[in-house]
Amino acid sequence: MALIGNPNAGKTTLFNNLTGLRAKTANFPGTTIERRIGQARIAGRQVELLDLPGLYSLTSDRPEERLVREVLLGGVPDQPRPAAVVLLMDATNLERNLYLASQILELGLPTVVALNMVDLAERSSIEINPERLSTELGCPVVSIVARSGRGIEDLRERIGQLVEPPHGLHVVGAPNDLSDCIGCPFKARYDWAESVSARCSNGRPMTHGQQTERLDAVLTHPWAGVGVFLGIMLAVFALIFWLAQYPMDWIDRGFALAGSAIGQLLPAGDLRSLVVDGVIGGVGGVLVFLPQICILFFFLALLEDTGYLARAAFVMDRLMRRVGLPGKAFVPMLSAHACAVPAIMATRVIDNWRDRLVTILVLPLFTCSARIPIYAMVTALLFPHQPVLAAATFTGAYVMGIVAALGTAFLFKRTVLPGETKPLVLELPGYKVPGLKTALLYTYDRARIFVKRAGTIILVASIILWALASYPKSDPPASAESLQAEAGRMESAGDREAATAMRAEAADLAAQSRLANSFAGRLGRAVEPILRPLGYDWQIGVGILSSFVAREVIVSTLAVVYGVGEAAVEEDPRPLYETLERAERADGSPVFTVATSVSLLVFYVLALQCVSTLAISRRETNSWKWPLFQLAYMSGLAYLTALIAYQSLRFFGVS
Amino acid sequence: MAPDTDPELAVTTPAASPGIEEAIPLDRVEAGHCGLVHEVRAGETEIEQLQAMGVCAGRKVMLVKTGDPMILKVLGSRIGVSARLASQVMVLPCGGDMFGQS
Repeated sequence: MALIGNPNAGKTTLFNNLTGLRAKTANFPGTTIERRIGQARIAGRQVELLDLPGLYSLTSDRPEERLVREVLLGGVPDQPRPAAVVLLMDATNLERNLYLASQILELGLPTVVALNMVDLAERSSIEINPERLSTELGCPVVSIVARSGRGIEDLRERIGQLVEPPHGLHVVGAPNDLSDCIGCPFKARYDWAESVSARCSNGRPMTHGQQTERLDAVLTHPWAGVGVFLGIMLAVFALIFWLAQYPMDWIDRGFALAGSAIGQLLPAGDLRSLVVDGVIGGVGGVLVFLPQICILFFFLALLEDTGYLARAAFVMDRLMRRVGLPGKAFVPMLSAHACAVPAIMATRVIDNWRDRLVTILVLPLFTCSARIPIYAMVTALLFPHQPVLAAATFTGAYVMGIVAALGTAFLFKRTVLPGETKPLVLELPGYKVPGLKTALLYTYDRARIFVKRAGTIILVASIILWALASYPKSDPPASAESLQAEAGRMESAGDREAATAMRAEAADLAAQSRLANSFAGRLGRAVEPILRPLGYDWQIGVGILSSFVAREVIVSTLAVVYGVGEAAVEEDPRPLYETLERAERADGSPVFTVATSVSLLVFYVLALQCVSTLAISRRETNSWKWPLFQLAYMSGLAYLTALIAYQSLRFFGVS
Repeated sequence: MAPDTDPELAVTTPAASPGIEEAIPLDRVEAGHCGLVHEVRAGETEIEQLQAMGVCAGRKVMLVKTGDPMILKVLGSRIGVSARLASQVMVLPCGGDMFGQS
């Protein structure tokens, strides 16, 4: 059974009301359009309820409408033709909703009309006669209020009795003929809608109250509207940063605890390392995204439900159009400053596929929170004692990300994905108090999709990168062995403190040599000739490779390859900065010169370096083609820009 | 009369006869004025969506807010539309302000 209706008619609320928590969200096979399937108990039977995308008509070329048309005609593989249709209509806007109704009823599927928001209609003195409407449409009509649950039981009962198709309604053309001629059918259908509406109601279309008018005067104002929107989004964005850090911290700590607890149960060796560092570390790496995803989608769902998000898209449209993207691309772009993963998931609001794809492609260029530790490291190297310059560098890196993303979007709209920016057509629904339950269910849904679809890819990639850094095994170097022996002597001489310090130093040396001799270390050496023109040595190469799991990993990897010790850095990164400052090449020249530091910063502003982003792009574009293109163009852009930065700094005598 | 209803929009036959007046693009209608849709120049997918939302021949549209994008009122809903699309909708000005008192 399928649920269908206009956008903003309350479809999601009714769907949740009928199915409870038992719904599954997935894409229609071979598309990026989502379908939700839930189990509803109707007349003692389990009925599968399919939630179709909200739409205004069935006949246009938009992919959603084509898909819904195909589903209702039974032409979609793996999606049986619905046996019946629940057609949701907004009582406050009967005439407009009758337009879609005429097209659905002509399909001849058994249909029941759920007339929603009758409470709002009553309050605006709109009177609708459901019996009369039922006669006009040739199918049962039930008045409901999806939000409060009024009339839902009656609706269930009517659905249970559904067997007969509606009797013979033809507004335009023959039954099942959806190939309307151009121009006339709209008028014919609306003339019909108007006459039906006039016969079944007191004919008063609802206009939005004074409150909506007044709010809109501010919220859709070209300047004030943008200001309010930026204020709201910055607050949400700050909340993501601030609120998410606590659960993220708990997840990090919880997994570290679990790792050491389980580690103690397993004998030292490969299995322990795989379970603790590979699997537990990898699962932790997936779950650590959840707080940001949940907070972002919870607030977006609330904002959407109030009707505000449509106004935000409206005011931003004028500005975003200049780079060739619709106003709806702005919310994902702002969210990408926290994390590209939820931002890419949030691009679903963009109707046009090309616009959505361009947005997905450029989102990882915005500075996400995982880049902050790297920016902090590089600015500390560049300006250890000049906070103002350090802050300016930080800001510069953010601006560079924004300019790169908007510029790339502008470029892509003219080259790879040409096409005019789609003009805006957007309903501005009446404002209302948001529903908490709908928002929570939506948040839960997004979180589940992320863990299921992107989680596995992230986990596998983490284990591969773990293996690269752990194999082949090598013996600890002689220097570490002798330090251990020395520590033993110290301990027997009673100097415990010195012994512990030496043991730690020996462990750092062993870790350094292990990584240097591993596949990752060898790969770092192998790519060194390619990275040399950017001013990097093989240690930085290892850092770049290992930071594919997550960008911030480069900081701890550099700590290991330069022998500072990972544990020490987590407590206080300053020794690392000092070590890096002192790090020397074979010829005695320092590694982290100004030119190399700037080049590294530029590289990390622009490079993709994030397997989770690739995984979520794969899920949202339904192919590997676009994430691989994303990886290629961003790596190329990062390499070239870092090359230009390093070489020109050297040319002008800055080294 | 309830403040939430709009008698002007309920009537689809023009109150004042448009008569000899010529059809103008919707984006040239002034804020607070109504227009009777005369012709929609078809072509784009988006214009079809606009028509499905009620901006089609024979319907009355009110311009709530000018600009690009602009806000229209048609049937019971408010719709944000790009000026470029609106320029493809030809309307006969049917006079009257928001509440039909001109």
